[in-house]
Amino acid sequence: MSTELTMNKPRSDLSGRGGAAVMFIFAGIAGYRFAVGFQIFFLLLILRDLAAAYFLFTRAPSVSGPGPLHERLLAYVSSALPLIYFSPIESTPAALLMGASLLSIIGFCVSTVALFEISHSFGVAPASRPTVKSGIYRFVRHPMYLGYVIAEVAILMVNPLNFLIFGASVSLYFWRGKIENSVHRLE
Amino acid sequence: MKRLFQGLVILLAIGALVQAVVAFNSNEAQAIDRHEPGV
Repeated sequence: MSTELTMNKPRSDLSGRGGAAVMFIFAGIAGYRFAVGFQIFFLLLILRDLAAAYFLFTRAPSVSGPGPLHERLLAYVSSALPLIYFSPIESTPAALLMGASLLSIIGFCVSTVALFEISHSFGVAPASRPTVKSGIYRFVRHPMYLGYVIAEVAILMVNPLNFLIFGASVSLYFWRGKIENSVHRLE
Repeated sequence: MKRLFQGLVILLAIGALVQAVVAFNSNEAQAIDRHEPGV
């Protein structure tokens, strides 16, 4: 496959390039956290963030061009929302913390497997890119959001104060899924 | 290639799950050794 086909154009897909840069920074943060505690979970995060950066950098262009501004803005808000979750409360029982860790790992595993399946169709804002119906997408319509929700349930478990952010985040995932379904129905 | 990376993701996740359980068990064992209350 030629470079012309696989690389997006910097001027036509600034959001892809910007997203790739952000994911690359996240990979660096995950790398630092792995170096500090040698937790395998962070290796999973490094792999996911680097893969997301690569796919955003080389993704297929949107067939229909960028969607409405409010859709794009809400999609970015939805992506950034998990960053503001509160930390676990200090009195959280160890068993609950472990249960939350297991859920987080499963959630990120599901979303990362989905990321590799969707590969060059990956994007934050709803857009008309080649539809993926293979692998995990045969069983779940939006496995990446499912993975995020599983991981965010874990965050809610260790600090109930997070329920408002969790509610907003899950609502936005449903909304994004609905918009993506309608975009693909129009194809 | 895609399947290879997905396999790697699943292996890393299994490793992380095992590491989390082992860390929990080891912390619990240490707490019992120290006779911490509530353990």
